[in-house]
Amino acid sequence: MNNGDWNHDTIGMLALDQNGNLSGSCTTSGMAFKVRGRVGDSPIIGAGLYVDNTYGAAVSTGLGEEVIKSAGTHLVVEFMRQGLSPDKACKLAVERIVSRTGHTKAKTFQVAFIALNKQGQVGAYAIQKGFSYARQDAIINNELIASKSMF
Amino acid sequence: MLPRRRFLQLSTLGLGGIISSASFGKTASLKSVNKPIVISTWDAGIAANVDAWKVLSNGGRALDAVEKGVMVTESSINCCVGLGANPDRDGIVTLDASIMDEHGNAGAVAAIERIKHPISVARKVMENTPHVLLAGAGAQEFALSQGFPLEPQELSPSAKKAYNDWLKKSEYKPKSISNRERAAIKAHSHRLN
Repeated sequence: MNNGDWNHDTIGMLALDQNGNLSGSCTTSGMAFKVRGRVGDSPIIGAGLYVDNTYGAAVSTGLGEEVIKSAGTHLVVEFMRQGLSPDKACKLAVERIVSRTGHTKAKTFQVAFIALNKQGQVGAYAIQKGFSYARQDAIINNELIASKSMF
Repeated sequence: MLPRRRFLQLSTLGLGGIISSASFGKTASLKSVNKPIVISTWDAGIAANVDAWKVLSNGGRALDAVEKGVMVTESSINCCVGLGANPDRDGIVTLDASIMDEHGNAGAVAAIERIKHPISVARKVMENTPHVLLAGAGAQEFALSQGFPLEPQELSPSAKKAYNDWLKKSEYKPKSISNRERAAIKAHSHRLN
């Protein structure tokens, strides 16, 4: 499954500006050849995107249906609110989705989260290998970073 | 462990003036905030980050950065974002987008057609309406009222080819989802979001 076919199915972006404020965006054409009227997680606040300026922000990519059913990005931000790192928050949210759907089914689809907290720390986690995210700041000059994954 | 390893390697290279210690990236002491910063999903994030960084590196607002950044992807022809992307099973490209700012304000559009930059429409929903999410024809009507141009209803060459290939294997308008279609959906589920 790590053949590149999962590349950039959506773009989600998170930023922390010079004033220390967070924002996020998410945009997609959705699933190819979807049923007319089908809507995924990308336009749903708390599913595809969530920002809490006190704690952090998260955005998702992958099978939108599964992210909606777990309110995925709200979950990631909630984990950061509880004091977890962005990395750990993304991992726990992925694990929640996998536990909801079951291990066997989870092997058939991809979901990934990226997260950014108020300190400018980042994290990511995916179900499947092959997810990457791009980072630009004073430390990393716009490099692709391979996400950790469950499988 | 790749991200951490790479992170540490990069943080020790040529950043002496900015980063005084190689351990900075690892521990990122809570008192020193790493800003500005932008991250975005997949390979396309590289191009998107460039425009976002133009905003952030000039002291601009994160909200402007994340809008400008993903507009790059919306403008490019690819499978999965913007009007050049793959259509629904009726051959029509419908787009979804959302945006959220530092005040907890949010705006979104779902299943919007023939609008090049749904992220900017989402921002207008946030700023110019008392609502959060507009869908379908109503979202398009709102976009037009905000001055967004109506783009032609046509598939990009790559989307047209992908759609025609898909039609060969798939029933066009099913009464209900058949096993064959379930398989087709599954086969394309990697493009979902």
